[in-house]
Amino acid sequence: MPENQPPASAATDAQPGVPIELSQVTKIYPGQDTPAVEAIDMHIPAGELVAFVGPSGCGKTTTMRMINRLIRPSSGTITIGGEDVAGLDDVTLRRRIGYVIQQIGLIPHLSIASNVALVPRLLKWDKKRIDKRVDEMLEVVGLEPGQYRNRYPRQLSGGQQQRVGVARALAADPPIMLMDEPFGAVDPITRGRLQDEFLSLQQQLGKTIVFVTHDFDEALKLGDRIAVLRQRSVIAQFDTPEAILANPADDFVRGFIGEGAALKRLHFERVDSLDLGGGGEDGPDSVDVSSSLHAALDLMVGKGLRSVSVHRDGRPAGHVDVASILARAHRDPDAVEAR
Amino acid sequence: MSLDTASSIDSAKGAAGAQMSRRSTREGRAVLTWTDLVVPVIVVLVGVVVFVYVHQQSLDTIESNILNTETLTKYTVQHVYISLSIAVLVMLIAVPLGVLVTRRRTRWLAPFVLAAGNVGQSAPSLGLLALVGIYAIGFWAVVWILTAYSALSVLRNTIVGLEGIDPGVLDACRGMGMSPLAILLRVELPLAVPVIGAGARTALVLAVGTVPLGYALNAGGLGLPLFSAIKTNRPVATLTIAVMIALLALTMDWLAGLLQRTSTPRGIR
Amino acid sequence: MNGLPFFDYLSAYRDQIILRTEQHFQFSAYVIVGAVVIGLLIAVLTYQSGIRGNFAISTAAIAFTLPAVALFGFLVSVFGQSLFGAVYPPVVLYALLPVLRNGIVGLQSADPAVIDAARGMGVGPWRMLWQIRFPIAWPLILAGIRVSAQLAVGIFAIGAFVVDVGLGTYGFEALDNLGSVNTGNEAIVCIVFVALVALVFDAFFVIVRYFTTPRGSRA
Repeated sequence: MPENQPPASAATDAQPGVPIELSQVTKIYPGQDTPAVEAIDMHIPAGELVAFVGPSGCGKTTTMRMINRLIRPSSGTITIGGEDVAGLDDVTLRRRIGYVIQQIGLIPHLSIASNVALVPRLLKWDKKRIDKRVDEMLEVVGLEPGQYRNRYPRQLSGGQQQRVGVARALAADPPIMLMDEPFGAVDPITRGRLQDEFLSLQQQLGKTIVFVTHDFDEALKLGDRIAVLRQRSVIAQFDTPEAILANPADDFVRGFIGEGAALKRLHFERVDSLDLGGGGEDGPDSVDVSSSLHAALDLMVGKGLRSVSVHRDGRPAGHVDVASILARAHRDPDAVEAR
Repeated sequence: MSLDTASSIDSAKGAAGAQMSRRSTREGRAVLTWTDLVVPVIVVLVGVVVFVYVHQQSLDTIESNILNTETLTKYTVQHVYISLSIAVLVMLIAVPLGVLVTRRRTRWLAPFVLAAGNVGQSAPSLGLLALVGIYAIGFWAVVWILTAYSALSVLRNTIVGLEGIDPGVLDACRGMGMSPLAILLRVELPLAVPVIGAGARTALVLAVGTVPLGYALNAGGLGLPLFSAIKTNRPVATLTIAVMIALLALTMDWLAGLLQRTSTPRGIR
Repeated sequence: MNGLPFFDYLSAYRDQIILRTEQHFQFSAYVIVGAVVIGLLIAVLTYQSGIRGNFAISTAAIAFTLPAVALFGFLVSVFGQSLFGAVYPPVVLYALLPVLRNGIVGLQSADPAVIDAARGMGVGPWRMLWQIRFPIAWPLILAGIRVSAQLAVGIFAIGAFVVDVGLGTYGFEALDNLGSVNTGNEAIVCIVFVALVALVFDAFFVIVRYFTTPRGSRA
């Protein structure tokens, strides 16, 4: 998982994700008048990470937990790879879906290795294969197997425990992962690092992931798509992060994006979306054309520069300056739409 | 200090006590709820059934001697009197001792006191009563040996109760300038009442149940008629007195439970 | 008090003391096994529902309030002086409560997150009970069994007035003959050997705890 490490074989041979389809899925808890989830329709494409964001109690976790049938839908159907989950045995279904929760839930009396081996053991893999897999998975999440295999959960920090939680969920190579605020309980610095590592891992694995969070910035960072949910899990907007930032559907979504939407939007725009002016001499500091405008601005603000040269394939391709980036950030959303 | 290992009878009562206080909290902090009527109803029902049953039997001389209303009343009163004396003495000894071993300066005493208590309790009450009976008999002999024997449960619960108080509360009290004595009397002990009370109930029930074994020590109580009924092989009398002892234990436990709850501060009831 | 010196008494009555210690040990062991089996069975059947669990614990707690002497007396009047009718049932009943309570509390004590995560990954109900809940509850259950053992040994001594078995016999002999020559010796034999039997059980469970508690759940 750390950047400098060669991708482990476990990651490259991974089983790719499969699509998930929710149609008219409703959950009404007994004794309550209003549904917790009301007739949600959603297509989650294979290999994408879809972030569910919304206020507490909006039903995002309920929606997610209906996918592995920890909660049974009152009506509607959910299919995974075209197969209706209601037709499958719950236990069999869940063994094919990775599951990571905020409280982690490592089993306290089992060693780290046994925790990671949980699902492979349930699936009755042979011992050799399990041992090999456990070591692979620990490496993938950046825990040295020799050092951590025989430890117990309570001997690990919160961040390390959640790495084990991710390794455990991935151990049987499920095509789908459900993650409920997995990085919510760790300190901000660890959270950032776990997010970065998880993002690069997912780029290799290509699992289909449903990721519940109430942190919009986390959704922006990790999500291929974001579903902003309001009460009763009604979809306020379901789109790519760029599109949501550029064009929030309504005040509810705008409220969720919060302050600094303009600045956040610069994360999703490449330097070459501006007029670079072409050629020109080379300065000491440069950015690549594929960098985000946010990164370019960050560099200039950090170094106190007015402009910085832009490279394409290592060769100078022009300049970008603070003024033009700011102009882009201030531009009204409709102009983005028109582009 | 391992409090978990030897917690015997008192933790059982503790669990029941905690449950009851939780229940009453839910139902608007009433001291009495309908569930409290279960025990008295059982006691009265069983009492009536046994009374009627005994009156339908034809009793021989020995049986009617044992089951003479006047003497039975006397024995019952003695039984209650001995048990209450034990319970009061236990409280007077064990609570201060528990306070002592939870003070910062004398905390190191706790493991020794508890170990001594545990050793004492692993000896059978039966043997202790017999041993004491060689040297002394009568009311005080029974009261003192059983006081020593049942002090442990109150001691342990006092320690647990005092140590279970949120340190933040005590810190706030100190910060506001309360003296250690004021904190003890106005904060610590009131907050520990439920746990200490559970221990006291255990001690009381233990006393009610153990006093009969002192039948040979001339202290009175229902042990005397019980054992003479058993030795003379009179089932009806045996049953009657056994049931009386059981009902007495249930009633005293019930009353102690009420007392415990009324003396618990409202906020944590 | 002109009886034999204690150690002379011990050697004079060696065979009898050994026999009664063995009886006490053996019958207590039966009681403990019985209480553990029944207690855990009820715990497994009731832990999932808070109401049923509380009901089981409360009922056992009320039974616990009944004095042992009274229960023995009651059963003697019904079944006569019978080991199975009047001695075992009360002792098992008293030994039951700690196992039952710790069993229920222990099985309920697993962190809900652990259960949710395991369920979410496809651990079935049976496996959840035996491979996750039970090992997590084990230290608490074992503590309950230890308490049960102490109770069983102590209360079994009182049962000696019903049937002449075990070390309680010495206690009752002493009580019935206060002032005779060997009373002191009998009382001390009762105290020392009952405590010894209790100690042996406790030591046994300490060893069991050492070998059965995984490092992850050791304090």
